Amino acid sequence: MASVTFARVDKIYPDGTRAVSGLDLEVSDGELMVFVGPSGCGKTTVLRMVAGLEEITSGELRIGGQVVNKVEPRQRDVAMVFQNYALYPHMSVFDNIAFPLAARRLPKREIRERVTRTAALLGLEEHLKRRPRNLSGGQRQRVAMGRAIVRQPQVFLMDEPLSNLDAKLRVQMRVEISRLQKQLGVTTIYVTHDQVEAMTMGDRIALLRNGVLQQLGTPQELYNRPANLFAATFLGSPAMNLFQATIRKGGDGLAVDIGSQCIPLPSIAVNGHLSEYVGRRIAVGVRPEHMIEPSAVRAGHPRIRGEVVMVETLGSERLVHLRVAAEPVVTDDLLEVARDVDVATVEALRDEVREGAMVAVARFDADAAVSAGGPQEAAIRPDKIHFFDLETGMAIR
Amino acid sequence: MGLFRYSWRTFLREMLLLALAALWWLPFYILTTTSVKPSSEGFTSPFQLPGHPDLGIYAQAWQGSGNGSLGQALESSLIITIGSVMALIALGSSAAYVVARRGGRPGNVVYLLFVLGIILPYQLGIVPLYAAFRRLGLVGNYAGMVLLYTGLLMPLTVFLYTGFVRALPRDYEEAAQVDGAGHGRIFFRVVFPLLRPVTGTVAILTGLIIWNDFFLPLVFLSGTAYITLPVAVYSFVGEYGAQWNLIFAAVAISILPVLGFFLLAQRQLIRSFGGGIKG
Ligand SMILES: Nc1ncnc2c1ncn2[C@@H]1O[C@H](COP(=O)(O)OP(=O)(O)OP(=O)(O)O)[C@@H](O)[C@H]1O
Ligand SMILES: [Mg+2]
Repeated sequence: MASVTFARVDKIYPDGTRAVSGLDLEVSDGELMVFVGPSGCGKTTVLRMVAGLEEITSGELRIGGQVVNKVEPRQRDVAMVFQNYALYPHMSVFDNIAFPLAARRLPKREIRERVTRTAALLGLEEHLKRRPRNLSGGQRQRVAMGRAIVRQPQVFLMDEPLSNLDAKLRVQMRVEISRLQKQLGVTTIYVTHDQVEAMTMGDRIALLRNGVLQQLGTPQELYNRPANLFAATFLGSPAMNLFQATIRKGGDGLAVDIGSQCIPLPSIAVNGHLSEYVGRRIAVGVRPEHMIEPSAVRAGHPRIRGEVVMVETLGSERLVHLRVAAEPVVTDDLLEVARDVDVATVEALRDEVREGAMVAVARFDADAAVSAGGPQEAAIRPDKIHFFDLETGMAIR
Repeated sequence: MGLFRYSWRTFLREMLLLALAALWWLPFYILTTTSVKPSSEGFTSPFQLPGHPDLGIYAQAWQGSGNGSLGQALESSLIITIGSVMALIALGSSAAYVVARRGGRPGNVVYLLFVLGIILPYQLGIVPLYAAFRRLGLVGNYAGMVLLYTGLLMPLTVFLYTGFVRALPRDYEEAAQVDGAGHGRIFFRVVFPLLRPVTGTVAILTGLIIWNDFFLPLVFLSGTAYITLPVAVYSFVGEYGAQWNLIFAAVAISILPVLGFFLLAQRQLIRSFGGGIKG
């Protein structure tokens, strides 16, 4: 077991691509750290540097306190689960799992014993004689896991290990990997671009964008206190609602103008630096679950008006899509996150800008009386409003 | 069932194809029938079935000409072919692996040299080669022939292997590296088995070239007891100029091992030519 430390690590590929910049963080002993971020943000590169498959351009990488920049992959004692598993196609499941042990020249008897034990742990006993190509996706995934855990390495590296599985299997394996990791207590770096995986599996999350660390913390910290617009939009589904607004003095405190609506801010919503922004445009963010039906709260809550364009009934709740006359927030960060979802999302964002109105999502009770087409107010939980500087994208705290 | 109706046109087409196929069989027919006819009959009625098939001709052919028995030639052919092919596969695959994975300028230069080796006709260098081999004591023995063929066919072998390795995903090697395997283990346990399809191609291609080669064994082995089948068969022509039945019997004998090999290995061969690697 060991910790993994990145000290100002840079990676520039030979063709000049800057994949990782100034990465500075420590994965503690026994921790499961999730690296998450949109496609191309450098997650795989980080993992490959830890494995030793990619040279480190500058900075220092330490495993268990030892600098490993120049250490060969096979001497690093890390195990990696590849995105496509990279199971040796010409070997049986048994030989695949046994390979790392055979490479260490363990005695045959011990190899047999350990492979059998690992196979039992993963429910692979019946498949030991089969070839990888004759296995289902989930079984292959397990074999890849088996090959990683059989040698009890210092560090596990997993590159989107679940992305090739269907949704149901993904949920199941998610739980299984978490359980296994806790049981074995091996330091793990887990890469994914699925925010749900990141939230549910990670002890901590490192959020990357363009090779730069955006925020590091527990899933709750990232969710409750996003450090910037990018973190705010990347985590959470449906995503945080972001309105452009002007901050101004109003009554005995501050208020925000969202479109034509002036919403006074209770003192609990206001924090230290917000008053410095009086008169300027900022981004106001509210998560759907903090926009609730007005009848559920006291009168003092700030409210926002809109027109209901759609109601999604999910059984336990209703997602109310409110068209609010306000400018949406469109920054490079947001476009990038949108692009990662799909092209249609980017288009929708552009449409909203053109029309000067945006659709916000509110989470109402399942029995709330709302119907599409009518006007509707939503109450906002004042302690859950986020403010961001529009220019830097940083949270205003 | 309804999709395909058997009509007159289909029938005619089938007949045509069968006739074409028969055309291909004609040489074999003549070869086998002539080889069991008295030699006079071969000239007077080449297409007729033999009146009294005489397998004794084969026995006589097997005895060989003055230059040694066909059995001895068969042995030489087998040893030289198998030895050379094995050397080609062992050296060619590892050389190509390094060339393909080393990449960069040095890798490309070495690769280019190999490609050049395919293009240049070796016959141009045969005289100095012979002189050098002679001085090294490599003329008239198996070791010399194996060395000769390994060298001459190495460019082709490396070319074939390199193309294949370049298309092979690196993931398996990287996985093996992280799993703690050294270079040797990675090559022999992971890469080489994945090269099986191209190894099959190389074996057949070079094997046939060596097996059928006439010129080099003629130059390097004539007059010794180690001549290969093609040379041995040719020496029949000199000695029994008019006895085509004997010559044809010898040809049939020399074809037989190749034919047998193809029949036995058919399935693997087709798989190795047609198949890629399936994960
Ligand atoms: N071998 C390489 N040479 C040059 N550039 C590369 C190389 N590998 C990756 N890159 C670039 O480095 C950046 C980071 O790539 P990386 O594969 O680490 O992204 P990722 O976060 O794993 O993305 P994904 O979620 O799509 O797997 C990308 O811009 C990519 O194009
Ligand atoms: Mg990746």
